[in-house]
Amino acid sequence: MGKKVIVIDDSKTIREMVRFALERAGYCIVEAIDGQDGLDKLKTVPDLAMAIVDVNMPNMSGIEMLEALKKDAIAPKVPAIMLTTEGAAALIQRAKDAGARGWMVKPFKPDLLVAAVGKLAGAP
Amino acid sequence: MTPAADGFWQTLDEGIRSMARARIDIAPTDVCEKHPPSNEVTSSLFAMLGESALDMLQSCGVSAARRVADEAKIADGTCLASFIGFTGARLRGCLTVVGPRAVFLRTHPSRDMETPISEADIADWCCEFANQLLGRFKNKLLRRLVDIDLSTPRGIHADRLRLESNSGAMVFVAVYDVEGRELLISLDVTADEGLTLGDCAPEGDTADEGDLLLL
Repeated sequence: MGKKVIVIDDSKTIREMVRFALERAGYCIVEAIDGQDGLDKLKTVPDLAMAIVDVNMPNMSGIEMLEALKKDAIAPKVPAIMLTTEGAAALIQRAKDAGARGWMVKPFKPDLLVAAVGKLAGAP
Repeated sequence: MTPAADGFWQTLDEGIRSMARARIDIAPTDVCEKHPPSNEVTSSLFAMLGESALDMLQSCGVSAARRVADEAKIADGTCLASFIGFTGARLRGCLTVVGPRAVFLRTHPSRDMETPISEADIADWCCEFANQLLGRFKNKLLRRLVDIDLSTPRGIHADRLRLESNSGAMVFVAVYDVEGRELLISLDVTADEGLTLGDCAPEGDTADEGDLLLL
């Protein structure tokens, strides 16, 4: 079984596009529908190797989620790539400060996403 | 439930009932005449949205052309609509996207895959379409030194829709011919009088669609 990647996005369309790209490359996918759901799963699902995270979501944004994870001393530290429509330098810096390792602007190129996950999480 | 929350739901309920009663074809000409672009800034905003819409449709793999608004009329039949709000220090408003199911099926990212696309998938894509379109608009604004915060999109199905603005906002309505079907994009925008657009910043100051940055 391949490494587990969690996709956190309120759009089912995006979750499925990411799932399609990464499953084809050999990764296993876990889905979360917003930042709060993502936070819960990052704390409870074992052996997550990577998180793909939207920024603007209901209940809790992706950056707020990373900031909450960073404050939690016992939460596992999982490398995260933000996948968003946003491109503002200030937001990118805030995500970086919260621990994000990458930033992709939608619509994403599947091959580029797979390459980034491979670089940050390792081969499946 | 608190009185404030109670009032919110009552207002929402009235809004939904009002929408349910609406049954007139979309008439963008009327809307445009009521609130014409007032100045260079507003015209620039609307031009940026128009460019963003064409870029968005092109990225979805469809050929599209903008039609003159007063020739437009959304056909009867079930439409999907999505709405997404935005706010900033000197600019706020709402983007609305309306089109027949076929447009969103044709532009869906999974259109060329073997997996079936459900009605829920199409409705979800209608919302994501608005989200990505407003993201493109925001990124163009950022190059002109204007920042906005985006909300999250909401969508509806409806048999017939009437698009109207009573808010006093400027309204931009454009209709795109997407391979023989009409897609309507509307932007309600309120801009402070002091809003100015900076000179176009060079690419690289913001991340663009499809970009990957390793941090």
